[in-house]
Order: sequence, then structure tokens, then C-alpha cells
Amino acid sequence: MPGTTSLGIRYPFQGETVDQASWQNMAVDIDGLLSQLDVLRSTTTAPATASVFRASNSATLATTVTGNLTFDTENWDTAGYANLGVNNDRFTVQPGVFYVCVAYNINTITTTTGIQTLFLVGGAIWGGYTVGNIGGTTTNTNVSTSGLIVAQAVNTTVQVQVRWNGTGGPAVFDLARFIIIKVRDLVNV
Amino acid sequence: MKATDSQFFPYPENTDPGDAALELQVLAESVDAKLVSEFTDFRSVINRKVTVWRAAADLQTIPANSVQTFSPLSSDLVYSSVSDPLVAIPDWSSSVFSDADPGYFRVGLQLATQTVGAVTANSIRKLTLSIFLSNTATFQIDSTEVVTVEGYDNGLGLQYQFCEILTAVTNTQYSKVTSDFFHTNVASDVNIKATTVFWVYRVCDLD
Repeated sequence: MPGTTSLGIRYPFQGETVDQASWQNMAVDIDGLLSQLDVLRSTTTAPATASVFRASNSATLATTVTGNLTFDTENWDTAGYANLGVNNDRFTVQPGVFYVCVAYNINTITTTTGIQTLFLVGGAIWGGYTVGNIGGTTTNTNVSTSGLIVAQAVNTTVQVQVRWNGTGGPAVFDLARFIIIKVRDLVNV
Repeated sequence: MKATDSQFFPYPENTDPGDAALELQVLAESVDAKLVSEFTDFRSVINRKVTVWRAAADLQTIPANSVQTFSPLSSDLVYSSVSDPLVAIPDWSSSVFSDADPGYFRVGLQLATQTVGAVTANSIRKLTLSIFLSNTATFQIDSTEVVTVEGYDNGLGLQYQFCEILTAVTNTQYSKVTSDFFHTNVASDVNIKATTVFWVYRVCDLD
């Protein structure tokens, strides 16, 4: 019976016959371990990430009305988080910790008291960012924010909900960009 | 025995007594040791240390024109990749974390607030996140990093503010995180609301 190293690489004990099988066993075991290492290397150098964009009419909302930003362009998606042809307002992720970033432009308003940006995780408000006291005649206000989220369940949706408060409108949300980067799985690999 | 140039994997010379089993074992063990090191290094990067809290209920009521420190509760822990969260709880404002694994850490906060009663129009909401670094556990502060974000009531009920710091922690340093809030809503107090999120995670090695 061959011995094995801590990682399971087989080798013949002293006194055992060293034959073709001895070499094949060791080569196969090393090959398997290096394949596992390739996966880890790939995860390290290229974390799962996706970026989606919409140049115009990502959302059109009257004052105080909430709505989700929508997207029509997939800039990149290394893990299948986006499926804009089915749902154009979300990433769908598996359990893990993620960093999310969003940026957009809001315009065609008369005056703005505040703009609210919320991250929805699994359809529920996770956290967000609000801008206030903008005042005056407002065109082309840029908003951006980011944060860390935790997805606990399989197929968790991640979305951006927006709202504004003021006069005039409806407000048009343009140049919307939404990015997600995986920080880690919930369990160690 | 001889060894390869870079990884020093052993192999027999012509003058070595023939013991193929031993030679294969030695080679197997040498490769194993190298692979164990590689797996450990990659996993330390992939399995980043992360701790996240999210307030399950309102945390604190803060009067106007008064800087108040606030922090998550132990029961607000949503996820931690380590058995002891990176920042000791229950009070991250007075806790100290030291890490035997130096590196760059990102500390962040998404704050949710709301007035208890009436709103003072255009009143200020000011969030300050501070990291204090010390070379001793008794906390003589050797350096600090502070981020302050200031906003105004926006008439949308819940107000949200965000800030984040990237900091380097060396193997000789202890660190303390505090979050402070200040407002000028004189018409009523302001609550630190449920859904406020706090996080700490290790980004990478120092070099």
C-alpha cells in the first residue's frame, strides 16, 4: 500500500515494488492538486465582478416616488451576476460579501430638496446615501455612493432604488452605472 | 541527491545507491511542502477577514448641537469570518483590535438617521469616522485617521450618510474605531436608526 503526504500525494513505501503505477500515482495526484491551485489563483487574481450601465432613462420619477435604476448595457460580468434581458434592474448573487458602487445623473428638475439612493438586498433596504439641501434650479446633479453588503441566501438580488424630493419633474435618471465586486464567500474555501 | 534550481525538488544522482521508493517519497514530500505553502498563501487572500454589523433596532437618540458617539450592539452582528470579530464588541467605540496579521483594512459605515419629531429645515447632519492607531495596548494615540461627511436634512424622512477609511495596520499597532454624530435639528432629537451598517475588512498585505 502506498504512503501519502499531507495533501494525499501517493508514494511507495521502502521495500515495495517501484513500477509504472508508482510514477503514475504521484503524477496524477500532483496534477490534481495543481488544478485546485489554478482555481485558487484565478479567484485571487480575478475576483468575481460585474458592471452594468444605462446612458439615458435609467429611471423617470415624479417627486417622492421610489423606483429602481435600470440598465441596458453589460460592461463586464465575470460570474453571471447580470441577466439584463430577463431583469434589467439587478444583480443576482450567491451567498457572500460584496462591495457595491453606483453612480448616476439626475436632471430636469426645477428645485431639489433631496436625493435618496438605497441598496436593496433580497428586495429589502440594506443601506444607502442621501443628498440634501441642493436647492435652486437643478440640472445634471451627479450622485455616487458605495458600500459593503452581505448576501445570506442563494440567488439574492441586489438593486439600486432611488427617490427625489422637490418641485418640477419628473426627474430623469441618466448615465447610471452599477458595479459589484465579490469580497469573499461566507465560508472559507 | 541533487535538487532543482528554483524549488529545490530532490532527484537522485547516478552515484546514489538505488532506492527508488525512498527517492519517490522524498520527492513527494518536497512537492507536498511547496503546495501546502501555495494553498495557504492563496487562501489567506481569498478568505479575507470581514466583520459586518447592521443595526436591528434603533441604536441611540441624539439631541441637537451635541457630538455623540454611537456603535453597534453585539446582537447586530450579521457576519464575521473570524471567531472573534475584527473589532471587539459590544462597543466598537471603546474597543481595541490588534491584529497579528498586519495589512490594509477598510473600515466603513452607512448611517441611517431620522428625526424623532419635527424637522428643522436645512439642518445639518454630520458623521465622523475615526481610526486611532497606537503602538501600545494602553492607548497612547500615535496616529489617527478621520473622515467627516456633512449633509443636510433632505425632507425624505430617513437620512443616509456614508463614509469609509482605508488604513494600514502594522504588526506593532493596536487600533480603535469610533463613530460620532452631530446635528442641528433643534426642533427635535434625531435617532440613529435600524439598518445602519458598520463594517471592517482586511483588503491585503502591506507589501
